[in-house]
Amino acid sequence: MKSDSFIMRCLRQRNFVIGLVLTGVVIAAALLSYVWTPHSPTRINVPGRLALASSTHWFGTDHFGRDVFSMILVGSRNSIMVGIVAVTIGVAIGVALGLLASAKRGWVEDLVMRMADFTFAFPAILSAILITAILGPGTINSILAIGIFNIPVFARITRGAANAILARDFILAARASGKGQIRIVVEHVLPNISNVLIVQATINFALAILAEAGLSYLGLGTQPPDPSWGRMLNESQTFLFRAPMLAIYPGAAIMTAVLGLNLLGDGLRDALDPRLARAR
Amino acid sequence: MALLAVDKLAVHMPTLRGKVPLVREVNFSIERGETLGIVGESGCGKTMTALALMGLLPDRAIPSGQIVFEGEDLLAQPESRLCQLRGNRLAMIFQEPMSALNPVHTIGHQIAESLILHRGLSSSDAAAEAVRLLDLVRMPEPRARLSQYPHQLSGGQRQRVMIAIALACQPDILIADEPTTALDVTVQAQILDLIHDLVDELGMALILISHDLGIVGDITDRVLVMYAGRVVEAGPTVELFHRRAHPYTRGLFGALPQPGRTRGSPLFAIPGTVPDPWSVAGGCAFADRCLLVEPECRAALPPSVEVGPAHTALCRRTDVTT
Repeated sequence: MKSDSFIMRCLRQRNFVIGLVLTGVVIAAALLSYVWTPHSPTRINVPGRLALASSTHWFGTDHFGRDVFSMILVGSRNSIMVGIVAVTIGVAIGVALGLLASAKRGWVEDLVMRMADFTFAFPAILSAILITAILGPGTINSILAIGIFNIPVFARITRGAANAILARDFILAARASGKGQIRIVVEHVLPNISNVLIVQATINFALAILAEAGLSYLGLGTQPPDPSWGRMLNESQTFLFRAPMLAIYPGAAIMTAVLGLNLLGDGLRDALDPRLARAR
Repeated sequence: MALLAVDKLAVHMPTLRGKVPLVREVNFSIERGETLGIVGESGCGKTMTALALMGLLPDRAIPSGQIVFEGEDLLAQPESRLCQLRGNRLAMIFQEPMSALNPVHTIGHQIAESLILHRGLSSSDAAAEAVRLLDLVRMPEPRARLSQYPHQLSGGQRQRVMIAIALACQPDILIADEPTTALDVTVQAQILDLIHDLVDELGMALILISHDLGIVGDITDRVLVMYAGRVVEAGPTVELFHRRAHPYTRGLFGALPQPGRTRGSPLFAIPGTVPDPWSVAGGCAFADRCLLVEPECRAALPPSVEVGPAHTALCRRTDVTT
């Protein structure tokens, strides 16, 4: 019955392939930056500032004469790291809370869901600003802020998907064979909702990169001298008319990562749930 | 003392219209090696009774009465104790084998789970035992099945897997809730034979729930006929099939197609429909559909009448023979 493998089904999705290529470019850039960059991303060369693209400086230089291409490469590390850690925090705590809510029902479920509602009442970027304002700016704190915002997202989606699975016959059968509620949600429900969670994690990865860029733009994320796409955008705005390319490069980098991950998530969803794909 | 004794079991469901009785005053007991059939139409409380025995009633349902299993009242036990008994001493087979297996786990994994949980086997021992169980339920190529997923099996094969899971820990009581309803007729017969043989082989008690009188007549020792949540007639299968005392039981038998029936002649149908559980007041729930109804039937619940050896019916008009 398994006529085509999951990977083949994914590769037939155009969104998935484009997303995979774009995300691959960003990941390759991050990996490359560990072994090679054309110049040091922090080396200042004021006489050569605001240079246009050339064979020595592929993307030109910024207002301190730093090499923009090197900064973009190194900046991708930052974005990916923030995305991974923040989504991991969100998935680990959010999924656990969501499963607990659907396993216990009653007041536990109400408490978890009302807490999620409460967190949702604030716009994501606002609560991230709030958290970094309290904890102080920096990469770690911005990761925490974005991670905390991810928790209710995953708690909600987990509980919703888990409740649908819990109503299925095989759950009753599992209970009839003497399994406790916690065991059932971990062993029987979680594997059945993992596709939903994978798709959501991919999309939230993109949102996390965007949020990190936003926080860095506001000066609350990654601090100098570590390069970050968000801060590059911020610094470029003073020179927007003299050197517009300075804004375009980090902007395009952010767009590539976010678009790539979104398409990847869309493609995964279509591949994991063929019914949804046909309905669209 | 009986292996399982059910005394005045009732299940109520709280709703906006108040507590609705789904099962009322069900009494029976069953011994090891005995088979008990519960028959009745959809919504008569058969499945609710079974779920109550397993402690698997829906969250809001309220059971009352006593279910005494080897001296322990199951309704009074905490969930943790019930988890130890379920799948281990009490096992259940469900109606829908197509959806009662988890699609993301292999057959081997799902059989082994119970063995590891209740019998503390190592995973390699559990796999070996799973092969033996699949062989026991006459599954062809049992070893190859272990790594297969539910969607790779047919309905009959899945029901065999369900039976293997139910039998994994050699339960004392096996509850089979319409085990063959979702299967086609030839497979039905095979599965029933299998269940019947296994009950004999392993000396379990079997509670078989069905709406199919033929199945119940074939393999049970005693029968309970349920209507609107109540047991309206109970007795040894042979005796009860011979001398149908309650008008509802007679109606059920009358509705069976008979061999030699003229083609195109309508089947007998019991007039009316099953009353809503909340509209049954003091009298006999069957009164509105009964051909022998008397004014007293609506006024008060009929007495339990002994119509034969160990054969009782909840009716005033058992004197009438058809």
